Amino acid sequence: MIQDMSELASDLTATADVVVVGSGAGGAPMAWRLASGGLRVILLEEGRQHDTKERDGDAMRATADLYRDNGAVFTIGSPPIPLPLGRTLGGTTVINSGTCFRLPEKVLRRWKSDLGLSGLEYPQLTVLYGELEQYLNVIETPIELMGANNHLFMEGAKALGLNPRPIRRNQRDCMGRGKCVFGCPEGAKQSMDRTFIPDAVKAGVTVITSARVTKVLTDKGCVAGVSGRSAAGDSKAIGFTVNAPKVVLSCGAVHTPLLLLRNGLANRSGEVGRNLRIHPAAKVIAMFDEEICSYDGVPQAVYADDLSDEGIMFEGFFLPPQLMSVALPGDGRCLKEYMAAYNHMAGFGIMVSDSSHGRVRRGLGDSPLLTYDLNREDLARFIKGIDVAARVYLKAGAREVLLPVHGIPPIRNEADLEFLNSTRIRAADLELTAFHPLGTCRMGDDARSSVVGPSLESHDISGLYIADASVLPTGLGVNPQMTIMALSLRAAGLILESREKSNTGTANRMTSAP
Amino acid sequence: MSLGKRERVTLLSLAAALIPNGGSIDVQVDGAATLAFADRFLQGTPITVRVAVRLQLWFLEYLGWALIPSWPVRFSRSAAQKGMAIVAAVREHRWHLLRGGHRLLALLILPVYYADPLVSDAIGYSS
Repeated sequence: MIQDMSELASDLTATADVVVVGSGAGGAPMAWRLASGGLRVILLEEGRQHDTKERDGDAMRATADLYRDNGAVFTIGSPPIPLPLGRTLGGTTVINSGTCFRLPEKVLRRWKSDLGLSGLEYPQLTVLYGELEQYLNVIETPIELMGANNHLFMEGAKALGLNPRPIRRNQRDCMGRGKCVFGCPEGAKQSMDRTFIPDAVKAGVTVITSARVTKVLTDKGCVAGVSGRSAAGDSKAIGFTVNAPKVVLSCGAVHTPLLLLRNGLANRSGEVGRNLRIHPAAKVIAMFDEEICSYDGVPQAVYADDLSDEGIMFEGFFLPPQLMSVALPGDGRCLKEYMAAYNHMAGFGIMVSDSSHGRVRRGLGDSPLLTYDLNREDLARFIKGIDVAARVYLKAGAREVLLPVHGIPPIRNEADLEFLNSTRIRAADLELTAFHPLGTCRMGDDARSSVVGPSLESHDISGLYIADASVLPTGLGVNPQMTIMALSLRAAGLILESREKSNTGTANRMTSAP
Repeated sequence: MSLGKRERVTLLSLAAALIPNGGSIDVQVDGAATLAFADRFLQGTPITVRVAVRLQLWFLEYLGWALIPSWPVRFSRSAAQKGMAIVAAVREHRWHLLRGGHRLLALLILPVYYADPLVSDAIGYSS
């Protein structure tokens, strides 16, 4: 059953074995797995349900409906960085590009060697990844759906000696409409609202939308449930309380720590909200003589990880005119002329696995205050990545490449790039966006330096679990949704195992997607 | 939270500077649509963003002239040429917070214009 808080006439009180807060890549698989294992589960989501009938791929409507704060979430620092987050049933999986990567094994090795994390074994994760990929239909983007933008990048990258490859995405019957980040209008993207949530409902989960959790209830050092109020925006402000001996927070790496900080919980280590990683990304735009219509096809269809050892990843991107106009450098007549040549534009992204880190604090009102400064190491990574991406497009025949660096004029040939490498560029000169906040409730064995253990249970409060990107101790260098789902399913399995010690066991396998 | 009367005037003056008439896309800015979108946008954003928008509008209106530099002049009452010079100075300013504020205001203006079907037709975009 899916119910919206706006449908309620009076305050709601409910009881469950587990209450899961947040319906994204962490919360939805957790709710499904626990309910399939026989637990009574309530899944709370602050956003509303927007099914595909309500989506037409319109960028502005989608930004208002599906994005938190109209897409206006920023980190403050040098430079300020927009950090778009989802706020709808299915969370950010509804507005991501559907890109699926497994956790690179070297990252897990680093977590073990540098951070002393134990109990997380790659073979176990591999099994979970395999099951997830089958369930979500993760497949390589077919060549015919790639669009000219990705083909041009592949051509240029190969000429430069790189090894670009098709991205694996969670999709069924994708038509390449290029609207992934505005909520797939065809419902082809296998986001949580199309997969785990319907299956969780079939397994008996009660889903309550427009439910903003403000309080985590505790009793004698153990968690006891959550309470909050309607987020539907009406004046009734209906409240709710869900009593449960286990609470799973899956609100993402910004709002999970914010909730804990507001409640003064699970923070004996002092690490809640610290260690914010965001995978900052820059975009390079190229202008071609020929018309290429980059909006046709899957925008993020190709990647190149040749520089991944240096923490640099190249992934495709493109935007509709409404948002591209904001992403381009310059304005006035110059911007208008660039936009007039919109059909001649191509674009690619450079994502950095950041060693910089920021912090989530309590801000004004209900909002978080995010601080993040890009360090010199990451700045150098960006300059190298931008240089390579610009060379790729020049090799592909671009007549002009626009760089996301303040004060650097458009590049017309490789000699112009000397300017990029010889100019003293500050972090504040970069124009960045970020998509993957991570690390603000990091997992680890040591309760003095981490918030949750490898089972994702809080070191401080019995029965309180965190299952979202906030537990990932460092940047991954790849899109994290599959790893969040895998860790969440693993933690759900451990919760069920601990229950089965006193009860009889229940086997769980993922069913095929509806 | 809606914009005040003075802020609306500044925002429309900024729209005129960001999207000058003429050129390859011969479609004028729809002022009413711009203001309606700005109000809608601000209602759904956190207080920090609303404050940043208002501060940037205030700075542009009353202190923008200092960046050119020029005699004191209100942005919304300055000649088109001077308005564009102020906008360029804000956009290119060394202080990234000023540039960030400028991009925030651009976010209130540019998407509305480029969502206009007449503009889509002019650039050959079909969704």
